[in-house]
Amino acid sequence: MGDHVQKKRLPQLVALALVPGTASAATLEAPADIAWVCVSAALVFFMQAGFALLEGGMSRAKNSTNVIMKNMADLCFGALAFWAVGFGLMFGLNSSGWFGSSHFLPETLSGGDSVFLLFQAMFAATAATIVSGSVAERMRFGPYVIASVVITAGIYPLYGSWTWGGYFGGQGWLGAMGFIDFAGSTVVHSIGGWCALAGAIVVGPRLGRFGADGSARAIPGHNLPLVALGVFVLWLGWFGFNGGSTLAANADLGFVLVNTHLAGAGGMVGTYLTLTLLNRPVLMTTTVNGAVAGLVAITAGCATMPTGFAILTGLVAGPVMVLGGALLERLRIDDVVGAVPVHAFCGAWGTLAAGLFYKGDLFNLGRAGVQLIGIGAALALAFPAALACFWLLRISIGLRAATLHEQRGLDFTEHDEIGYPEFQKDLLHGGKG
Amino acid sequence: MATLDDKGRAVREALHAGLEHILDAAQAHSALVLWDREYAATRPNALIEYVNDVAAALALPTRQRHEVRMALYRALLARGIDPTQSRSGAPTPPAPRAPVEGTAAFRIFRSVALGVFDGVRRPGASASGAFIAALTRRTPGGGLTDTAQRALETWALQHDDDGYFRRLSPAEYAPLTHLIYVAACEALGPVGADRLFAQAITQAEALPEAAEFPPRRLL
Repeated sequence: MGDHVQKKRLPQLVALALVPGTASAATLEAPADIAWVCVSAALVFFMQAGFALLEGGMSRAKNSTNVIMKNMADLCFGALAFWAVGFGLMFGLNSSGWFGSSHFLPETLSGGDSVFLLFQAMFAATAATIVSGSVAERMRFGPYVIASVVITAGIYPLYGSWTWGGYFGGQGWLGAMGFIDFAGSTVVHSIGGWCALAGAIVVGPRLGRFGADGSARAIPGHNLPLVALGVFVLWLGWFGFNGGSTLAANADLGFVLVNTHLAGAGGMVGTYLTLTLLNRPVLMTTTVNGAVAGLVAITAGCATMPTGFAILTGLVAGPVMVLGGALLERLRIDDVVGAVPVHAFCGAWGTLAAGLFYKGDLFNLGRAGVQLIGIGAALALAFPAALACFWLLRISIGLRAATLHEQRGLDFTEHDEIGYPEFQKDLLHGGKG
Repeated sequence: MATLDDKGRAVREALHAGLEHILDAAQAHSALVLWDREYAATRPNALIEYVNDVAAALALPTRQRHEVRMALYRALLARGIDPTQSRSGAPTPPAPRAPVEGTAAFRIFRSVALGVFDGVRRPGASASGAFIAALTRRTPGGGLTDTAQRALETWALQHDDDGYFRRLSPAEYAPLTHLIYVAACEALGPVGADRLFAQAITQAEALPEAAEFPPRRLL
């Protein structure tokens, strides 16, 4: 019976995955759908809190406030930038297939379209906030905000227009090829992850992160319970992220949410098994990041993948994240929270998996090829664009905090306040100036 | 396991490399002969005395004598030999410290700096080498002059050579402390450096001068 139900709903899900814009335009009229997407937008909003806890906890106490400020900036500056430019660029009339050209500074949207804008603004902020964890503890706040605006107003919506574009007419070229990315393994997570990689490269590693012989030195976060709590919050938010992407309150939601949940669980299990097999310590920070890796990976195919393959997708995300993190360390790239392996690498893996494990058409190499084109296009757009953005910021206004600021902590030097004033006396400057 | 003779050979190779880096071949040869004849067997740790003898014998100006000394220290550290340790590998016992003269700011700075220097030496020669290399490589900033940076490097190698710092104003100690922090980060990693600094500050806070010049002003 379960099979029967799944077969019946498959065409609907496939339609959603291939042309989300068209589907959403049709479905966001019913009150129940609008209510569900509003709730989903709130859940995705709450993911910002998850990122703040995860990234704040993974950084040292003296930089925790700065990290949270960056998350807040992503949300606020990102919302304004996406409303002003990003929304039109991503979902406006897309005649060429390369970018939207209407609905900038939208003021007269219908109720359904407004809800859609709200939901998508949360996605844009999510893409941008991935960067903050990667460059934490050494990037100045001002230039970071500028980069965040560039991502939410330019890089993210441009790629989004290729895939999900056409809400107000036309279609993106990747969407037209049949590229599947239901809720944004690539559109949101890989784009954010590639931008994070560019940022981490341009800003350079934290002071003393790597020895002269290239050995990586651990810099433990200041509050690991916050890290775990952040992951729980993110997981909760993911039900809105993936579930809300159906843009409809119907029975299909269950299938999407079950796949999402099990892949997250698979990601944690896959990470645990990988660490055990490699005879490495089973670090809580790595293991909970594995759950996020599984969630990122299933985001592309949660609506179109049989549940067994969803679990497999999550399981494989574990080793992808662990080995990806090791690769970055070998390359002396300092990624404080592991944002690049989790979001960029696992996003790419999940997008490929969405093509390989497509329900009713497993292992279709043509489909996998289209997925690879989409993955490559994301890398080809986001990484060099972000690299150029960060490099321009570095040579113009300066990107990197001074070593003195690293010593004192960016909480104190950038915001003139510290996260834990009663407990942070050891290395605090006696008086500013 | 390296024998004492192996270590003696390694020291001689290091001296050879260091001398050749600064002096011409004939001068370096003369200096090595002096080492073999007067120091190798009986006084292998008297590096400062050796450099002074070399400088006197070759009539080197003060600046070049300084360069020779730094080159020898660097060459030894690059080969994993801590020049402040005896041939047997045991740390040289600290010389009894005379009462320190100078301002309160200097004495606090001296206490913090020596605490960090000692802490950096503890893990071994590779950490000391990385520390000295970082002191040399880092571009001075925040009002720090090239001379001050060189003096700091010398002091880090020979802990009793702190004359330059006695005459500085209180405000000049903070950038020097920061340079020490940066070098400690590169040598030990930021976690080790933070721990070491916290210990050094705590020790300095116990000094009577801390009432006049609180150690946290250095941070």
